[in-house]
Amino acid sequence: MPPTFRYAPALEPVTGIGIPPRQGLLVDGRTVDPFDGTTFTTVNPATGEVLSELAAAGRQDVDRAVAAARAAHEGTWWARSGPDRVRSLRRLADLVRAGARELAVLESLDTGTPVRVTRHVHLPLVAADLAHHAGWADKLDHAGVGAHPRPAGVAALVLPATLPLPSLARMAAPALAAGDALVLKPAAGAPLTALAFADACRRAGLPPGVVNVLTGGAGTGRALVGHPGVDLVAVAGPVGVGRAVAAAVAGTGRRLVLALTGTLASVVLDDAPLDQAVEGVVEAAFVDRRHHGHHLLVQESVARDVLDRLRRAAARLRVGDPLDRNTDVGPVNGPARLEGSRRRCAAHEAAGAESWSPPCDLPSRGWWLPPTVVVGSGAAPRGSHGEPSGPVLTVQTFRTPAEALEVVAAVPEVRAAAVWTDKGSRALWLARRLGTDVAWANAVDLEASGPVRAGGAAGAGLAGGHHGPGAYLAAGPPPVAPSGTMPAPPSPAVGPPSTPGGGAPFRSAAAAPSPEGPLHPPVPPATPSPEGPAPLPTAPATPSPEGPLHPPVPGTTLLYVGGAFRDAGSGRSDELTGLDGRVLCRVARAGQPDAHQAVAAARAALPAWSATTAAARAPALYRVGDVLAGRRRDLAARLAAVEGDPGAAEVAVGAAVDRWTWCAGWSDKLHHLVGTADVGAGSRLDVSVPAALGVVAVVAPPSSLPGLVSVVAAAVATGNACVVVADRRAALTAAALAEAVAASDLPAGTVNVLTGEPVETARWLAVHPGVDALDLAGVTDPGRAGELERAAAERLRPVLGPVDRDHDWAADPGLGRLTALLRTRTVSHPLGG
Amino acid sequence: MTTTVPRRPAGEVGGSPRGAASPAAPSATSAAEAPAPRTAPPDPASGDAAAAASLGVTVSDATLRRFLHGLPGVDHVGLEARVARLASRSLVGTAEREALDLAVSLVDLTTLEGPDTADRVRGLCAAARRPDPGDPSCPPVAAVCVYGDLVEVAAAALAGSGVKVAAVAGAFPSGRAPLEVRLADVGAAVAAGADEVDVVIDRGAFLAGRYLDVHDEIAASRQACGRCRLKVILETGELGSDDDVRRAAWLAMLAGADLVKTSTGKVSPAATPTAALVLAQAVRDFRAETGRMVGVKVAGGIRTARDALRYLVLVHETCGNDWLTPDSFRLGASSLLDDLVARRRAVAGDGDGDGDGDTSARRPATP
Repeated sequence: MPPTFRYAPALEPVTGIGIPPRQGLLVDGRTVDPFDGTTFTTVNPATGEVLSELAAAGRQDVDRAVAAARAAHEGTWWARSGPDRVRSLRRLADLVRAGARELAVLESLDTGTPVRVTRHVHLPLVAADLAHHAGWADKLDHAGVGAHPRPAGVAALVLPATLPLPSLARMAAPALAAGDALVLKPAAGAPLTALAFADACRRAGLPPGVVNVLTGGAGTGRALVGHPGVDLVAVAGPVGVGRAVAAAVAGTGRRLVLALTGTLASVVLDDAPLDQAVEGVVEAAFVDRRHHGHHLLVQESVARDVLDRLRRAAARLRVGDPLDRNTDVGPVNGPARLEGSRRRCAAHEAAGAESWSPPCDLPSRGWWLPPTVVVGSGAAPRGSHGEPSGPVLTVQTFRTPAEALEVVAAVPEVRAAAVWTDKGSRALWLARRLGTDVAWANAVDLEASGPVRAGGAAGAGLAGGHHGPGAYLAAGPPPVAPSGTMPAPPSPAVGPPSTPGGGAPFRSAAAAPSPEGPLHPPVPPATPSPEGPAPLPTAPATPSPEGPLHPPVPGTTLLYVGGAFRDAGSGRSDELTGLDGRVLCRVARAGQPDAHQAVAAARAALPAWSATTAAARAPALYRVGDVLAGRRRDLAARLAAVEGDPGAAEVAVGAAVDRWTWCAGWSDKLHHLVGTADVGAGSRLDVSVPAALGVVAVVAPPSSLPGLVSVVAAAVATGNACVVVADRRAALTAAALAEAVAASDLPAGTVNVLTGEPVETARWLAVHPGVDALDLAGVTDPGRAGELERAAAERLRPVLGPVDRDHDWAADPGLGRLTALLRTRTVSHPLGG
Repeated sequence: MTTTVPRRPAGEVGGSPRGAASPAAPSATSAAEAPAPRTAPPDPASGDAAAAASLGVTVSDATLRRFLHGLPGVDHVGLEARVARLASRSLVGTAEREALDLAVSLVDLTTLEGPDTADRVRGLCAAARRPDPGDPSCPPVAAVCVYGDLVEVAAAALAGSGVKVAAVAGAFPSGRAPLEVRLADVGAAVAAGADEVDVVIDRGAFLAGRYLDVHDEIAASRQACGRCRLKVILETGELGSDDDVRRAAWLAMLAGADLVKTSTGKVSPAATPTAALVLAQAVRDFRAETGRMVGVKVAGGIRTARDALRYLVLVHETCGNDWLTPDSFRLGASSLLDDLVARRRAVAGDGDGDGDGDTSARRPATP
């Protein structure tokens, strides 16, 4: 009788893992009962057995936890020295490493993720995150938000049911290093490791109240996120949750950090290393399952072969007890997700797809779905989306890489992508074009080490790597007044846009330069427009652009859309009166169709502009500055006609010219500062390259030429196209800026200038599907700003908050406004012989 | 060089030498036009050339090159990741006991040293028949592997035991001798009573792209082997890349190899899990393509029971249990058997074996 090969159950011992049958809330270092005594249970999805009964925190519990966090933050944690915090956090990292087995088992029990994944994949990530960020606590000056940053304060961390502990570490590690105090809100379906983590924090010597845990359901989360004592909300989880949290936070001045998960798209090309591709896809789709859906695109010529290999590999998977070290596929975490996964399969089948599962014995208790391959339907039949992360892989074929890009673009909520090919150049090309923040070549779900800098729409799940604690810090010395209406851009490692106290005024001299002093000749001397004056937007009469404009010839300033000057679609215009009450000119009032056309023009310009090399972008932008410089007298005159003081006008014009030139110069340098390349583990090269967000809708600061120039230059110098809305009182100078742009080599539509009622126009822009980011610099009414922020939050768009009316736009702006308008795309490429 | 392989005239070869080949070949036509796998393995003595010819690729260096370079690539980083994942598999209790017995039955107990003597070989053969003299339940090994001059000694010592005699031949370990000399070496081993012959490929010719030469030399060895089984040593440690390992394996299989083998044991690195995984994928795909089952032998540097079990896991997960028989999988080693036996004894005394019976996963081994 020849011996045979088979696996026997190899159960990870549960000895030493005590789960208290009842657990309270963790507040201020103590376990407390909830005020109203509500409880809920958490269940082992593999068996359906109750693991523990937990407290559901209510509003008063949130009050108590936030107060404890506030006290701990101010009283102990931030009061400690940096090196002191490094010591505590390193001790925490050591404790977590030493207790990795127990934490992994706890996570497997609570979520159903196989212990071979929690133990060998997730816990090493957790330990690495904690160890890495511990060392940041005494280096905060270098975290990218300027010298002497301060912590955000009290941070609320909303955790997901998928990958709860790695998500917790990914957010808590940098937040603790930044000096924030935390209130954790674990998902109702996976709360145990958060409690265990808090216990490890206590044992590591973190002061009581630095890490608090509020277990509970969605109500607890809402109460926490909406609590006025919270300074920062960080959320990991599905896009829907992110959207809800973003909407709750919008307009409150609280900061937001998003790490959202959605669908993973894998693209297998015909020259792919097929065995590795299939193994990677199988591991991600059926075993690890950190994404909420996995869509596989296979080039048609290898589709049959890939599907054969896929079925063979799926048939070898071992489905069963997550605590068995040889188990590949665990249960689905809870009946709702199981039902959702089944619904998703059914939706695909209804759309014509065929489902296949290998034969396997599913346990009779708990919530199980066999590995399922769904072949043939499109990416997104109706009803096929949502949170579930059952072991389901949807498959579709394509014929050309271009078609693959189209298909992926049609899949909603694609948050990460993997490209499988033997051709490095094609891998990098596709990875960039897929448009996700993280893309892997010939791998999936590794930790890419690049920074995630993706504005408010951040998120390829946890694949963000070590980006430092910048997102959890605020810039500069404490502001004089509470900056309630000024949320920093909700992106990691990005300084807030010029906050009132933010950054030392770099050139206070700008306040009073000699009238002629600052007007140094432009870099290519004075270009006195050989082709004659730039076309003036005033109609019908065209004033001499050279002579001083005292007063401007009455006429109408036009809109500048798609490279052309024109009247408002409605033909409406308003009077602009000077200080003396005389009518200076009429100003076209942009309507909704004008706003839409401007967005369309910006979108049309985007491919050309964002594809322009940085080196070519800079000269084109310098030229705009030069044209402005050549017309500074005219500009000063226009400004003075509206605002009065000719001296101040000249100073403002000088500052504006300098600001434009400064931004133009950054356009071919910024990527060197914010891009990274990292040979993480030695076997992969992670390249993080900043990319434009797309079309930025900008509300220009009212009646400030340096302000107008600052916001527009920041948008276009970063490769974005913009639609800027200027107040009627700024129409004359906005028109002059438009003329300068028209005289330059910027592709038509890169800058579009609308005038009229900025807030009204911004409302149309905020909900326009073609707008990718919102800059509310000129919105002075906090109520209106909140409204616009909420509109943007629904679409998870990055928002730059309003800026104080008396903000000194001539002061050193720092890089915050520029970097806030960039996202970082990371491509992880293998390095193997 | 003379070739002895029957070959189709070029004109008869289909227009798509690459496309007609592997289901994996990245050609638009491969999936649709791949020949249906043959249901029964061809007669090993004569069918291999036919199998190769049916693929239409052994016409010239150019057709072979197009075919071999059309095989799907291997991503080394992904390959290592897979090996690492498989290393976390855990064999405990009865599973480990059975796997240890299986491993013993798959060993090619090897001695390839200059000072080898007849007495030493006889001692080795005794160990091969009864690896654990104190335990009759311990199965014998698969084969004893010696130099050609000691084949007769081994054959006599193993007579009637079922344990095969394997001989290295063909100017082992370098393969650097005229083909006639190498073939004579093979013939001598066969005549002396070997059941199996292990030959090396000409790595120089392979790396220089003279694929047809390598193919024809293996085919000639196959013919010289007659009734014996031919193991073709690729010496993966001297091939430049995983892609080359896969190509060399396909070349050997096309030329009629019965087993493809990683290493001579004389070159470092010898057997590695990554090379073994590439070979396992190749034989799996070859059977899917041609219906013929080619075996895998890993050799060199396998010293511990834990290493051996890791290779079993790797083959089990890649090819399935079909391959885990002495016909299709071998562990070439000299000192491994002692550790297998020692581990076997330890596990036998370990009750149900849970706990410290765990060899492969508790501490994931490094490749």
